Amino acid sequence: MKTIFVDSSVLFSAVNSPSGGSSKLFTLKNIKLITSNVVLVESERNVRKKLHEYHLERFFMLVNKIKIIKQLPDDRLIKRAQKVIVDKDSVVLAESKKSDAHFLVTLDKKHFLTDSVAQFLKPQKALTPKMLIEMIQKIGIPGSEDIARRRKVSIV
Amino acid sequence: MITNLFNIIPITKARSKLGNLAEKVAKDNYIILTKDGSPKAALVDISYLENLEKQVKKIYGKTFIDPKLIKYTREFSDEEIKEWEKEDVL
Repeated sequence: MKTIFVDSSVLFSAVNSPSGGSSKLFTLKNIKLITSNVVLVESERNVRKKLHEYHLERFFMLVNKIKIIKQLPDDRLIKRAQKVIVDKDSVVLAESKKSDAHFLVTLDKKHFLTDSVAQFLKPQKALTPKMLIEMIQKIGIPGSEDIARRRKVSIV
Repeated sequence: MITNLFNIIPITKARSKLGNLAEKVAKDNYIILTKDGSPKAALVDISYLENLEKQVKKIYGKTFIDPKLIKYTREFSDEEIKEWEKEDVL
């Protein structure tokens, strides 16, 4: 089963909208969504600040579907990440790299979907939720063949 | 409950009939007490209040926010949230 590291842009957007690709990720079977405590803190902080009270309940509901990995931020890895991505995204990039997930899902194409980030993350790959869903629908991922066949996935 | 003229009472008037008013509040029926024309307090059914407190605790009592990790996080800008919304469309 492939593991997908969920970044804060995806978690926040899944909370914000039940109809987007980020939300759809939470309905896929045969993939394992993971994230770190830093991502949770960042997402919750912004849900509380930028969204409505009822979104907080949805945030906790979605977090229940993610495996929270026990890892502390690695300052040395963050510094390495700063060489390939803007400072604001270096923590999440380092967290994803450290997680050893197969994929990193993010909505920040501009900063994460670059050659230098791809080199840094190797063998992990950065994708948007839409790209991941399309990939699963087209070719599937090992252990997820049934999803590729079904094509349509319900919305949380 | 919808607030209307019948459940808004000046504190001065409420004093003399507090016992009756306490009988009137039940479930989500509450009475707003005003002072100088502005809402000052509310008389609510105790079970309604307890339920409200439970709901608030349920939502706000739970948190992943760890003060030690805050320095590693940032506040999203409205612009990037809008960009993400566009990118998230299937």
